[in-house]
Amino acid sequence: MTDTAIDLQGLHKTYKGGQPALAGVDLSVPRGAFHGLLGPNGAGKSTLIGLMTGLVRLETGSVRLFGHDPERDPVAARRRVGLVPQEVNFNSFEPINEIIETQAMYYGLPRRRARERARVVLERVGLQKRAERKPWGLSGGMKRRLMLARALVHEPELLILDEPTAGLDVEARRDTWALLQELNMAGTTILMSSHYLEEMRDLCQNVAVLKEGRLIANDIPERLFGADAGSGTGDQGLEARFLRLLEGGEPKGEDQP
Amino acid sequence: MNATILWNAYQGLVIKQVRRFLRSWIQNLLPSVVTATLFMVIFGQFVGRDLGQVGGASYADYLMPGLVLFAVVTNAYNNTTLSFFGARLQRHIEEMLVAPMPAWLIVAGFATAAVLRGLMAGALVLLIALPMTSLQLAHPGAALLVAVLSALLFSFAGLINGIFARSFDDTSVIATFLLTPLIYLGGVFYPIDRLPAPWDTASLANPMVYIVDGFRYSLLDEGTTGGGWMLLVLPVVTVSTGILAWWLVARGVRIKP
Repeated sequence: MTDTAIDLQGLHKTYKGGQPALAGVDLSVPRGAFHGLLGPNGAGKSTLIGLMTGLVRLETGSVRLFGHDPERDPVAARRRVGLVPQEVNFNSFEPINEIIETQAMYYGLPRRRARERARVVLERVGLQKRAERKPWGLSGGMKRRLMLARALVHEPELLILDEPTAGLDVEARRDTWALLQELNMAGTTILMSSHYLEEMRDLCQNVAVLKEGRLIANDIPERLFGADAGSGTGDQGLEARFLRLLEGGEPKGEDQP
Repeated sequence: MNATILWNAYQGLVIKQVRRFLRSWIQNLLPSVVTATLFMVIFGQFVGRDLGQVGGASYADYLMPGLVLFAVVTNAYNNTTLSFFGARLQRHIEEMLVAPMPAWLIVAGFATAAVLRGLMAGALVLLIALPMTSLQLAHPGAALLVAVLSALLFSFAGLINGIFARSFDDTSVIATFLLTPLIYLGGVFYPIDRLPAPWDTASLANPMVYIVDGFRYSLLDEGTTGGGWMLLVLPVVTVSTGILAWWLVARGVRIKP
């Protein structure tokens, strides 16, 4: 049994007619970690997540999830992974409980168990009262919670979240943080991309920083932003330090200081 | 272990797709029944009385197998085209791509639901039309085999249409401008040997001629081309189309960037 949840080697991806979205990314995330993925828009975060989860075609490089190649052995690799994507991607014409149940069955759960799990996760994210309804009337925050419930229904060992708190109000964001911390404490490995520097600093044990398709840093938040970084917008604030990192950031690997 | 997981995933997809077409049964199943009933009443009963024997049977008897098959193949085709295109449009195809579902299983799930819808529509047309004929169902096993293979073939073809469609217009272009003319000119309403030269010979290039004729033979024990060709060609074309659909999904064509 490998101690590595995610092992990415030499990932390259160029979309048709575009610039390289990823230009040789290596990244390793140990089991049980809470790992952040940070970078400006277009840095390659969603592409990286897409390559790991089978939503984007792999060009060159290798993806290993818990030691398994998800293309060659999808059952061993993908069954352990849950994804909360950035964009809403559920069927708006399907009742909420059916969305969750079906996803559970896609991951191999028998129908009765899928139904039970759907009830549990919908209750956990506070959508149980709307379970029979279609998701038309859901607010943006509720839609995010629905996608989180869907990602958790098969009890994944690795949870990948692409900007899960984008657009959430403060209360919903804090609820999400609490849930993610609880899951991580229980052993779930988490890889989360976000633009919110505070949640990167407060939640993640390690943060990988992407810029123009390259990994320019991968370190603990204290070393990336400085242990004394405040939340303000001044020179010593997180944002200023992050911008300095992006401007002066020489590409460096995980083992580099 | 893997087989159980895949079986549950397959069931999940089939249940989801069957629920989808049953949820809108008025829109999905009823039109075929109404159209076939009108054809049977107007052409089979009113006009058909003056036509005498056609292809060795009364015109109502002659007409009915083609109408049943018409319902089977159009329903199977439309089901996969619209559901696959809808899944791409709303991006809930991603629910399958992130799960441990190989491409063949995705194709099989969509095709199974489409075959079920085709058979349901065909059975409804048969039930409505049967009292208007003196049919005895000569070879019910062969009729079911032809219906299933035809539905399977058109479900694969519809899935390919759903893969390449860029808009809702594209989902109906093939059905309207290719599929419907092929069926109407494929001997549903007349025996092709009654056509003047060169149209009788040209009709032999229409694959629907063999499928309709084979189905008619299995119901009436009467046919013009003989069932041999159909039994040879239909499985080969069905398997080839299925392999193409699988290859397109496995490659991620129009699904994965």
